[in-house]
Amino acid sequence: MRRCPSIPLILAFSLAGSELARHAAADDSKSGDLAQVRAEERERIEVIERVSPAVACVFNRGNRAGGGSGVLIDAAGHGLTNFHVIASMLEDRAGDIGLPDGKIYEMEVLGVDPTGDMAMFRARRKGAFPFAEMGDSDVLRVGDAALAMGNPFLLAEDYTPTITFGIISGLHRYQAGAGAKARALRYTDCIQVDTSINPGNSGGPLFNADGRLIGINGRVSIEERGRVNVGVGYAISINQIKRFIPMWRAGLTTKHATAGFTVVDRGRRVIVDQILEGGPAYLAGIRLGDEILSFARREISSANQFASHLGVFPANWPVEVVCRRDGEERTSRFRLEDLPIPKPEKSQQEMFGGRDLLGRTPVTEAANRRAVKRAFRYYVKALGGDEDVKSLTHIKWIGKRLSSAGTDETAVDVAESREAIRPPAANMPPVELERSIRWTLVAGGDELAARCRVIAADEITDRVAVVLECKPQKGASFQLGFDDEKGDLLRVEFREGSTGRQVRYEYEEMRKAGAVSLPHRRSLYLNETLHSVEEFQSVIAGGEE
Amino acid sequence: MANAIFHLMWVSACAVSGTEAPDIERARAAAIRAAVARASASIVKIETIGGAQPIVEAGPRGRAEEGFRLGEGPTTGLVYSADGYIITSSFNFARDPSIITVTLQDGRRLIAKLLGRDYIRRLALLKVDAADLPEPQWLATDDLRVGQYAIACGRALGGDQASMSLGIISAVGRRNGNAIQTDAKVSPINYGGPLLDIEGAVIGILVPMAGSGGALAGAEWYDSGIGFAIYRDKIGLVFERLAAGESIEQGRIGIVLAEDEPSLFPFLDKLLPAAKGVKIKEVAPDSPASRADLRAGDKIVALDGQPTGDIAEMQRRLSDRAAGEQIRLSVKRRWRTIEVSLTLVRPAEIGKPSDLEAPASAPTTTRNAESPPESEPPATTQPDGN
Amino acid sequence: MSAIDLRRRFVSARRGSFAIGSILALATLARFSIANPSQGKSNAIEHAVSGAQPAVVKLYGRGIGREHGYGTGFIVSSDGQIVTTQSLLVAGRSIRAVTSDGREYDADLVRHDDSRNLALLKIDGKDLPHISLISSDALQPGDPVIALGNWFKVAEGEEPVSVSRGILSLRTQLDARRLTQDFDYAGPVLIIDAITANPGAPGGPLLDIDGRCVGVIGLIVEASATNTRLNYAVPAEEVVSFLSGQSAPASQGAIEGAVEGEPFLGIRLSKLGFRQVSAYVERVVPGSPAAEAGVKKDDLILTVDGRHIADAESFEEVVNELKPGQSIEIVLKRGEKLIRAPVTVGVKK
Repeated sequence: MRRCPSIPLILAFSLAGSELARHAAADDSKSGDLAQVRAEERERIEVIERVSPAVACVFNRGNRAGGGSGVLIDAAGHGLTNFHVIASMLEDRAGDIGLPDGKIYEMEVLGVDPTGDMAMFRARRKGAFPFAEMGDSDVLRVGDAALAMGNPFLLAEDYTPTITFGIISGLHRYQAGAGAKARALRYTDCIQVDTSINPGNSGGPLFNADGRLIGINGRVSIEERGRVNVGVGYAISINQIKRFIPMWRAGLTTKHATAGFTVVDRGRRVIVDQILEGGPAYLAGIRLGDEILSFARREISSANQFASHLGVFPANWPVEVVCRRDGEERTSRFRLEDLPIPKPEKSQQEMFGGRDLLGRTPVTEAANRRAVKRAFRYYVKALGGDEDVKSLTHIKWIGKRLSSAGTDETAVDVAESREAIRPPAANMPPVELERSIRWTLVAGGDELAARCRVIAADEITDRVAVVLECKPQKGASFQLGFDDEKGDLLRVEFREGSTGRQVRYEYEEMRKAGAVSLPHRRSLYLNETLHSVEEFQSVIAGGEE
Repeated sequence: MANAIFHLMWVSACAVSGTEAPDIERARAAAIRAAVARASASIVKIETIGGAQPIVEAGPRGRAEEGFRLGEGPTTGLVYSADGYIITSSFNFARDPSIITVTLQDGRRLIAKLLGRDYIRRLALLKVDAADLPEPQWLATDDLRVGQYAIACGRALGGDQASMSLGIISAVGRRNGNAIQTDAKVSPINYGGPLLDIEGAVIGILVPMAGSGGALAGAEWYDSGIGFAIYRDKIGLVFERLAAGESIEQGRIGIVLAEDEPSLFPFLDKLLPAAKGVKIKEVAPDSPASRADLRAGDKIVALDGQPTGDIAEMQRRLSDRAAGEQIRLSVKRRWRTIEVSLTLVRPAEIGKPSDLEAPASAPTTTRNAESPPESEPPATTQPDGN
Repeated sequence: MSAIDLRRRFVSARRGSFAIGSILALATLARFSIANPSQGKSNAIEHAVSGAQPAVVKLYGRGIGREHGYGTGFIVSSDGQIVTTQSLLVAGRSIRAVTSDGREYDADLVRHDDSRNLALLKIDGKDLPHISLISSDALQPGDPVIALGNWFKVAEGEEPVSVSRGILSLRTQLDARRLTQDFDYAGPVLIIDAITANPGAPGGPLLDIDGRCVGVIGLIVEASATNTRLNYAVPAEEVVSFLSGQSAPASQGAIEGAVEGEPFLGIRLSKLGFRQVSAYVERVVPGSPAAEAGVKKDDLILTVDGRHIADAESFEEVVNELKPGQSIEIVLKRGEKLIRAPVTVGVKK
């Protein structure tokens, strides 16, 4: 009788077995296949669970009858959305966001980009916000998975986003803007997806399969069927956005750029057909009739492509242009010029709150102060953290110096110690000035920070930097450029008011030296001319001995 | 030796250019087919005869919405129980047909009786004379995760097999907790059919939802990647009533709402946050509201004890309350707060003007968020929700 | 001081900052290599479309009314034969074809097939990248498919056309209308769940996951059954038949025992003015095929020859398409019962 209990079990097994056999016979699915598909599914579910808490529903203050979407990008509550989503909030710079935790948080609108249809907001609460990590939109491929999240048709009653899944249908797309000369809400070099994007998805994030933020959804192609998705949506690429973020965080209204010349297609060649004489491009050596081979590191094969690629840069961004003239290739470097911010048209007045409210922002000063503090905080972090930096007393550099001619190599052996540093002053020699600013940052950032203001974003040694201007004394000023993501100090520039003398150091190749991270290449420019480059084999940074 | 090197190079080249993808692609396709095959016998074809094209109600902008018209059928349903109950969508009977037939996968064609319709969840229950219908397997609601695969199945386009569209679960607990949202392509091709998981278990019944346009509401969003399926337990809640021949309609109390006007003294609003509410613009004569002595100018500050947010939220919360159900309103009139209980009635039972409250999906305000001009406007949501 | 003022000063301070010495210039060049090759990982879709994408052409012509002045086609031979859909675009006098390398050609209409709505164009070319078609027979519902096309004219010049993925939803016969007009292709179609009922999409290739062309995206039509826009492709085997000059299968094949004359069943339906009414039998002509089959007054006709009878009007349409001598089945509802009545279609005298 002891065997009895096992009988039902065997029966159950055999039943299950026959059930399985029937299914296996009925279809061509193998259990291994299903496991593979379930694994793929589970991976996606996990990514969604990880990133969706950072997806926001964006509303006007106290009014949930309309709205769009957004995404938080740091724990402090900074978030991205479309300009057209917050345009109606410009007057008082106030709005609300709803997060998947079911709560509404007040937010303020910081910097905006009417041309590129982007805006930044900052939500407030005690404690950190969940946020999305940014990816790299330059490495995307057509066919890559693309997850869109947001609040289409305001369906998110509890502020949990709608998640849709598709693929990247096209890259480097150009969607003309609206308004005067089509300068507002232009989508240049944008990402096209077949992921469903509907009214209300505007400003919401597009993620890749790993849950990295690759773009901000904002437009769809529609036609006779009206305002519903037909499989053709567009997102502003995150690499474009990254170049503007430092300025938006500081409350600045950003401008896009013009090249100072225009191009036309001539057969398969792209030719400069107009150029502003005396403009930066002209001064950098570009001439009428030049064939443009590459612009800002991308090969150019049509005028459309040129326009599209130009649109992703802020005004004043440094670019490199390769042209061909008389069979000879030449490379020019210059800074792009301002594209005026579009004035709202009659048809857009409602969108812009009825008036031109851009650039006059009560929020700017406070946001700017916060942005400066953040840059300093990140710098200290990049150096090695608060404690390490405070105890830092000396740095020893060992390396070689190259002159601008590239022939003269001299050994460099520099020892710096905290005690020997004087505060920055106009009459200092360049090396001492740089040393002074660097050590002032280390010693007491707050006092310096109080005199700084974020004025721009820039590309310094191939990285996006936030540029601060500081006015320690009358007539003189200096600029500091910090890596916007890592906090590394990338540039120190001193400008003397009376003489116009300019001293600039640029740093690159950051390496850990003991507890702190310091540059291993330091270039000195005097009045915009490269004077020397120092390369350090080793940097010895020390604390108390 | 040279051969061996060549061979190795070829293999490594394959490893670089060929991805593992085709394997997962094939596995996924097989899984989809197996899932549909598993549920297929329970997915039925519904055909109707007679009736008329429903008149499309004027939308919030005063015109009939993008003239969506019913097709000629057939449509889709799902076996609910072996004894002949078929669950489907009320959308499929918007013509009020005189004859309905159900065709099973084995070719049997049966006369069906339309027992009841739930206009809130957009469901309909049919009964055929059979005792051996293949019941589908349902997925437990707790097992549902956002991001998992979802397959929408229908029989509207004929063919021997059910049609299938692959998507994911986009959200759960939508439309007052009635619906699962999916980005699989949901349309008249599969309204009334099942949404399946990757192993063929039924997640919910596909229906058009939200949107505007009365009996056809939501159909204008077909294939947009915004699709809905009703939870099984929500079907279970109304099954008995539908089986008893009841029609579940959205209840009305007979008021027109207006967004609270911006205060002249905004600082007062901050001091008195409770003053926020939704104002009654108009009360229909001979309605639950008029009988409860609600008046134009009253401000509704709470519904069933929960503070009201804005019109959209209020309308949403009212949208799945059926005629016959009771609600409790807290109403502020000048300095007094009045508590009233009302029994919702069918629209037809309200005096003139009848169809006062717009459904939740069609808020009547048009404040802010005007879309930029252009044929391809950015995807911002307009308050009319379409 | 406003932000704008500060910025201006910054600009002037930065002018010419890149006029620098040779060392940095070289270092910079090495780092900023121009091509900036994508470092992203390849995916199955990219892999699948890599062969077809170079053979896809963007077509431009004249648009009339709801017809769009642009579309998609794909090259099927190295000398420039292009398959696309038959539309007013290709009926127009000048058709421009832009190949994937951005070159523009004048295309001539070689041949068209009004029943399959396919067209063959030709451009003057040599050694052009082209797609070969394979039968869609092996493609099963649930299998991944990839649609390519010039949707909304998003891509210009040499920019690659848009790509969308979906699955094969169903293989069926089309019963559709072309927006407002009738659409007479009644052959097999591949219904897919990627959205292709968009301007510019018709004429694009549908690929399987291995990148082989299994169909061509059809014209924008609405299904009669659902009144919704269909996303579908005409299978590659139909395209191959078209290319080899075979005519489309007639919607009514040859019928055994066919007799000359007008079809006759002997059923008269009740008609109430202009309202659409269900197909209730009012009178059965004594001695007629219907009478012999046992059709009675007050029966409701559900189907004739397998076709759904929604109302009296559709009954007339279906009967008119029958051939005398044909054996069919009529499904009737009598009371609460369904009755199948086999009928041999007679000749109207």
